[in-house]
Amino acid sequence: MRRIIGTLHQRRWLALMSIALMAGLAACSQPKHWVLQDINGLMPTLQFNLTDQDGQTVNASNYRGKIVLLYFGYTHCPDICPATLGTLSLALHQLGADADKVRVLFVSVDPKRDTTAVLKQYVTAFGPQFVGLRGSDDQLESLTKRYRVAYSRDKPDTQGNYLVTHSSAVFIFDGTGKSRLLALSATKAGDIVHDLKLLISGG
Amino acid sequence: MSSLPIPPTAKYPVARRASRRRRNAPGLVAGALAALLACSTVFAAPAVTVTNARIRLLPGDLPLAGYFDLANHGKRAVTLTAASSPEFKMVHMHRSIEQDGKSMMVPAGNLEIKPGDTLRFAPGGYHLMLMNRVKPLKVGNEVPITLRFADHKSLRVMFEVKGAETQ
Repeated sequence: MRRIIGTLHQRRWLALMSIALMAGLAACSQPKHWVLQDINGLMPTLQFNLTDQDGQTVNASNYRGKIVLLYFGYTHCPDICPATLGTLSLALHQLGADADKVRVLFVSVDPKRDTTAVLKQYVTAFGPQFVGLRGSDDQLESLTKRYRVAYSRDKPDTQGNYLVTHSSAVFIFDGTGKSRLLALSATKAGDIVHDLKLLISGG
Repeated sequence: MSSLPIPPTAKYPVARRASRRRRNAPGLVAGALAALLACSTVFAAPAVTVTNARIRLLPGDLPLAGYFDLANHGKRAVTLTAASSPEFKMVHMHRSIEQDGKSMMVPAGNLEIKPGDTLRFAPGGYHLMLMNRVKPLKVGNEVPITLRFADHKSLRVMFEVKGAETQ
């Protein structure tokens, strides 16, 4: 009888050990528990030449040392663009003082209507970490091609209104400009906060 | 919360119950009728209610989005066909869709809400696209928007103007 109990003990012990080992291996293969899609180095480093909402010529070096969230949209977009920027704004609020380590670069794919003045009013509505960027068609094209971001503009209607189709991706770069994470318009603020905290803490 | 007041003639459950009561207790008829006439919206059960009606304010005269939850408490399906507002020259019902990682907008068309169902106008989906403000708006303002239905009924709803981060 004692022998059987001993065997059972050993078996249970073995089972526990193997579960622990498997858990350990799983942890090894996923050292960082990102919630967002991990695109570590899969996209080119941050690089662009554009004009910001104050009319200043800027490039990626102006944002070195900051975590950069890159999003393409247009201000006449009533739903998805402000909803996405609103989510990012909520996420930054939740970061508290660390929000200053982050910049959201909103690149207009509709520079004709999105003048620097329009962009300035627009990004100000979302928070001090928001930057509005515009450029010539060539500048915009080289950036959208770099990140394989598709966009298109419909023909204007009789009132001159037109719709723009654009990417729903938010590309996240670390302080060195390396691509790290991908969020989407539908990503929840809490998930973004979780991963931004990891990135800020050197993850 | 806004609600569609049901006129005493409408074929909705509460109106039927009221008429039954009238048959059973004729003495109460006069009083009940007087009360119904005095404040029919209080007596009539709302078949359609709208909650959480909000507008996300953006600067200048940029198009805005209006969102709400529309619940059908009635016994028949209702069909939302259009919306309008004295505060905007143009109001469209739109839907944001995602295709191949791209966001785009398409007209919403007529939207049927079955009995017991709630239709949500929410970010990333259905929204009212509000264009060309008649006058500047501020956070905290209340804006009337009339929702129109296929049976020629309409519902006037007050939407609260909220900040840019509104979800």
